[in-house]
Amino acid sequence: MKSVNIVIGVILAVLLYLFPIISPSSFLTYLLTQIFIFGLFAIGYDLLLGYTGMLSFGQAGLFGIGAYTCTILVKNYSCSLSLALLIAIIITCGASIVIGFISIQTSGIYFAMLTLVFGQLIYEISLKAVKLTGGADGIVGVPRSTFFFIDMSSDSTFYYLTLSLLVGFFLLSRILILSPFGQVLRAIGANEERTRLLGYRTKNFKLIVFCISGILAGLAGGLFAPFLGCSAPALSHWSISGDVVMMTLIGGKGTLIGPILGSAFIHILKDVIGSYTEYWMIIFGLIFVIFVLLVPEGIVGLLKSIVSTKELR
Amino acid sequence: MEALFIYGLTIGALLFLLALGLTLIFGLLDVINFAHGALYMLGAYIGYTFVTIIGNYWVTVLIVPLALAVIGGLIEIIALRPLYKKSILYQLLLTFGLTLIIHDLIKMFWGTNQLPFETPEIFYGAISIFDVLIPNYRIFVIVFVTFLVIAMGLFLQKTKVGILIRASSANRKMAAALGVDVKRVFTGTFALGTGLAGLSGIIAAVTFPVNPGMGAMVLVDCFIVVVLGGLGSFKGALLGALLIGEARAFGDYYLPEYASFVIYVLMGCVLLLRPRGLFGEMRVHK
Amino acid sequence: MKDILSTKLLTKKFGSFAALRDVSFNFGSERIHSVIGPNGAGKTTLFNLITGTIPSTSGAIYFQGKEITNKRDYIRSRMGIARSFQITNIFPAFTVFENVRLGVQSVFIGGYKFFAGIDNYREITERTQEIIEFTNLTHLKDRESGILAHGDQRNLEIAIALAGNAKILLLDEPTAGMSRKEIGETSNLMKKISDSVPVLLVEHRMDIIMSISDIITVLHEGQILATGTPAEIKSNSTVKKAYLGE
Repeated sequence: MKSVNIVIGVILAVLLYLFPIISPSSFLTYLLTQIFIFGLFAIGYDLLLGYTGMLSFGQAGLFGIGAYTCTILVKNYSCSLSLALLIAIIITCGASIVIGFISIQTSGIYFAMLTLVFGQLIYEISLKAVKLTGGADGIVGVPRSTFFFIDMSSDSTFYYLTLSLLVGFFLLSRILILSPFGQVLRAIGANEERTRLLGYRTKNFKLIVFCISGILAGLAGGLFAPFLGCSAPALSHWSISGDVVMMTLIGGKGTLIGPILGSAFIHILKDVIGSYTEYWMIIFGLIFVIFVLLVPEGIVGLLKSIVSTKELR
Repeated sequence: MEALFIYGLTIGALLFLLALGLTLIFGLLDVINFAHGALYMLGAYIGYTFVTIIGNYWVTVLIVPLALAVIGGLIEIIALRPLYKKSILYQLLLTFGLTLIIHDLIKMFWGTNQLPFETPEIFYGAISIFDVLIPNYRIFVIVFVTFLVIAMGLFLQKTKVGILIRASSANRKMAAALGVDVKRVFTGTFALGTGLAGLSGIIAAVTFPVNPGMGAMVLVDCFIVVVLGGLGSFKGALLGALLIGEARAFGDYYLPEYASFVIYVLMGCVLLLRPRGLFGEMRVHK
Repeated sequence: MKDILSTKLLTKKFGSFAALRDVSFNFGSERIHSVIGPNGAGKTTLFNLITGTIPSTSGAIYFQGKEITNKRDYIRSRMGIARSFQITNIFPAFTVFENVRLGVQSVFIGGYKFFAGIDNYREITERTQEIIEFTNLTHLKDRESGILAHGDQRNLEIAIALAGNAKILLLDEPTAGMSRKEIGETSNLMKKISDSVPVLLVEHRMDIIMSISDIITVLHEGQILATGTPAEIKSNSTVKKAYLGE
């Protein structure tokens, strides 16, 4: 990692940590927390798509599983948030193994379609299993509970929790990408056939990264439910998968920081546009299409090319 | 029982129209059109408006596929063509982005409530065949789609344009080397596929609810059909459509809560045994 | 004298078309064994069958005395069957160094190490340097491989194949698209490699074939027409009629 980037990153992190103290604005705290939660979701997604080249449209299903698991445990069983999140991660991991194992028998287009189908399956289960999930109404009144004995009800405390988790998993993901495992992931994303002919059992690697991605999705979901205070089938809807795809691509796939920027971009934009019109999806869709066509490397790519043109002068 | 079977055929017929379009597009362009469900929905909605304005369902059935074909052609030229040189990933992402745009456009122009599509009078009755009472509508759908399939088969096998499409689909470079304007074939095929989606939509609109959720629902079923039948295979699409159609018909009747799960499990089992689908081909993607 | 690689009645059909028919091929103690034949004779199919990229219709394949007919491609790679491609098949976004290192990594530690940075594995770095020097790519090692000149990319192809602890190296038209000078360099490289690793070569350039091969096998329409030393093949009348005479 370039030292400039490290410095910028540290400054940014420090600023974010100081933010609630310097200028407490409940609205911004709320917005930033959302950005952090989806940033976490998107990092996992980037590992899957940006590095390993696996386009999945079903991650929302795992997000939803994480959300519901956490919701039920915290609300009905008075679980602490930390324990609930841990269990949510375990259950999401299990679901990822099942879904992943079946889907990874295929690749590319088949894989995208299959994951979409699985995501929809989970969505329909959330709608129909009324006794467990509350059906279309979902579950409301989810308390924030405690995280390792720290009470999470205040918005700023929750802000710190999500920020810390985001920073922590971001660093872990960076370590993962720089490891031998990460090299294989990048290779699979670039040229899977060649990677197999170097002796790597690519299906295993794909399954592992799919689970990692699922775990992060489930963790994000588990954080989102107490954050909102409720769970609903909408959390597993394919449009949420779509949101994450957009964040990753617009931010810049294969960069880990890109998806976080993408999350910020989309949430801020949603807020700004949302105050003018309720048809923000068209604008989003258009922006997304424009990025796919013209700026495929995303915001990070744009920044990189601006910096390198400056260096050339 | 037989009535359910006929109902399954009807659903299967509509699914097959969709799967046919998807397979055509995939066969030629190697792209799975994620916007297919949204385009089907667009067909239903545009159809609703036309029927309301001009009052004639049959004219609408002619207009809608043409309108959708034009839209499809435009999409291909403006948005897809620039991406052919890039990896398939971008094309998939683009069709996904289109889905979002189309979905919200529909919400913007037609609202989020279900549209009250008036069933044309001719579909009110039912005919008794071999002691089974079959609604006129279902007879129409089955007969119409069968006729269309035969016509398309002949078109692809016997006409010059059809052979052009098949040749370009089998070997793009060779076709281009032989002087075929491959670009136009692509646009035309995409338009044809989109038109089929619109046709399915306007036909389905008669009895199936016209609401913003119909696109996603049908897309998932359509995907299951082509995945089950094998991507790129027309035979597979037909068999898959019939299977899923019957599964939906019988499933909705006997196990209303779990019909979808039966289908998902069915798909999962087939894929575990035959990851390429029933008639899937081994395609070499460059 | 055990064959390192052999096939017995190997057949591959695509539908009703037989790309290879009852091919019984042997690679013994020679160093460079070339396979020649007109386009469509089945050479690339033979390679694909040996590496496990496509399954055979019937027949058997043996490597170092063990039957590998049903073994999957990545397992055959681990056993030491390495291959370069006719159409360059590298990792364009990786640097030359990263390309080769991927192969070396597979042999040394595999991929299931999650926490130490790849740069920490000194032996991997050293071995990667070795191979890069061996294939004359040192001056390019930090260059992004996608933008290399064609000839350098072809050499990288070979380097990646070598990196995976190859016990036999299958080279598919390694000099495709190269200039005269590059062809000469690659020829020398192949001879150097064959000192330690046997080479199975598919090539179209007769001058190279004749000058560096120990044994030549001629394939024609999916079957073996003849096998022998360059001198024997040159004087073989059937071969001359079917192939060399064209």
